Amino acid sequence: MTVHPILELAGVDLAYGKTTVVHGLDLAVAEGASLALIGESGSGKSTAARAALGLLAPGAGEVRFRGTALGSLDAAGRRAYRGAVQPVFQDGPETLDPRQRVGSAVAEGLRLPRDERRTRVRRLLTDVGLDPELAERRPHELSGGQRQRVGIARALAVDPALLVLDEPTSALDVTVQARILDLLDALRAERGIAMLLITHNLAVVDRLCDDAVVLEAGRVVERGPARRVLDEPQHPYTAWLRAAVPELGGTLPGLG
Amino acid sequence: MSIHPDTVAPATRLPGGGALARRLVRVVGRDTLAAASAVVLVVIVLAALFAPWIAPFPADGTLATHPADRLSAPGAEHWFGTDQVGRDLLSRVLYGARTSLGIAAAVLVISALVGVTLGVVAGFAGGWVRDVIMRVTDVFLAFPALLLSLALASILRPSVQTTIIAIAATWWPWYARLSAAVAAGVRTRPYVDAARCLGVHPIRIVGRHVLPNSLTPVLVQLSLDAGGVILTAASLSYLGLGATEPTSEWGLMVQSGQSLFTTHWWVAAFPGLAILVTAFCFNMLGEGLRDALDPRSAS
Repeated sequence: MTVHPILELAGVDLAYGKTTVVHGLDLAVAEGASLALIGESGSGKSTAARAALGLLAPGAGEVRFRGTALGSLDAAGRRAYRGAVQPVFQDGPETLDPRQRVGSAVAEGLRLPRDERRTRVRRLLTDVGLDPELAERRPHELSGGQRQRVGIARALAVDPALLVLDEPTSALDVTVQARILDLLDALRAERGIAMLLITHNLAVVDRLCDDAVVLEAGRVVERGPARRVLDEPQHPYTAWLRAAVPELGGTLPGLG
Repeated sequence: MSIHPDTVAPATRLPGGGALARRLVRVVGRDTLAAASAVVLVVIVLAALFAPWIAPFPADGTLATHPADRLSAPGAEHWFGTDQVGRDLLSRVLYGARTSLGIAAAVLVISALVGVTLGVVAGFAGGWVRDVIMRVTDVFLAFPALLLSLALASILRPSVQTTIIAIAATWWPWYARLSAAVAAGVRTRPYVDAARCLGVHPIRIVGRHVLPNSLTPVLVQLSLDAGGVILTAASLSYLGLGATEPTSEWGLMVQSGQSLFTTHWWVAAFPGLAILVTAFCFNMLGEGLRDALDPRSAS
């Protein structure tokens, strides 16, 4: 019996209108693994994230969930996919509905009676390092780091097997970044949640990922173990990305 | 995480819920004209609601006639004078407020319900659903509004209901277009994507996220439009296509007093003034609200 990866992109082309932004992308994330998709702005990495989340249908190729193409999933398969693959977006004022209280945002994916839901929401907020009393607050009353933790709690509510993290720390202060990375690291170590990390920040890759894929202008230019890709880049583009991060190799406070 | 949230919130974002209400009160309060208009409108609405109790001659609002008192000039007994059949004009203007505001409210509620529903569906669904809905909307928008209202009103029997239907039929497309544009923007927000990834049903996403976040510009538009609806309703009954005697309706009253204007000016002047003041105040309030919601006006 073959063990399928949780999520697999096979020869995926992605386009907006007539403009193809990703060409023939192949990648797979196994149970409990963590893969970085690296590239600068405009390299197509966020578009690839949308495809992995089933928000954008590929023009060619397949996105497969545990071996089955998303388009071929039956209703139960679709539900399983929705429960297993969850996004964490870059922090911004609109990662959470400005009109929705934190508690109901976290409860969005829960199908539980009211009492159990309350308990579960408080538990989830505690799990991501937030005061459960924040459930009554609205997003504009939170800091960027708190909002990002709420976003993670919302995703964890359905016990996902894979988190698709699209620049999860890029909009945050360095010290706040470090704490969010600690949280993600812990989730991976303690719960075995797999991660597909979309980022341009190589320090984050170094911290969280086993393997890395480098995307330039919609095409994969390099792939391999994250450590090797970072330390001995084979492709000039990767080397260039690496050179753009002077801190790497030194020790960032809280990242060491 | 010690940064105060207010200092990091970008200015281009509309605050939700209570924060929005407070900001509206603050900004509209600073805008003297809008604030004064809001006060006048509150007085007019209260006058309309309590017309049966505050009108000096409540029976004159409809059928009563007093031939002995016909065409009395404004004075101590009849502040606004009386009309051709001796009815107290102040009472009729007060009852007219009920009719005009009632028509405006009905038209705006119907237009907003139909328009916002279609618009939000179009904006959220996108694709061919959006194309079909927006093309139908465009057909309605292609006719000049007053002309279409006149045509519809002349097909139906003149009445207050006719006025409401005729005006609502030409007003909803604006709400459809506005809310489609807003909903198309809301659709791409990360919290909508997050809900989709959680498998929340699209109808629930619309109800919980898209609709509430699309309503603010609609509320401003409602206030801006109220004056226009009152004017259009008055125009229709002035032309004999809307409310009919003995209903107290401002446009109808202006029309019936028009031929007497040189000799008995008050018969047309007071209802005309009522139309002018009400429409003006709604426009000023609407402008004030629009400024209040423009992020650039935030202090």
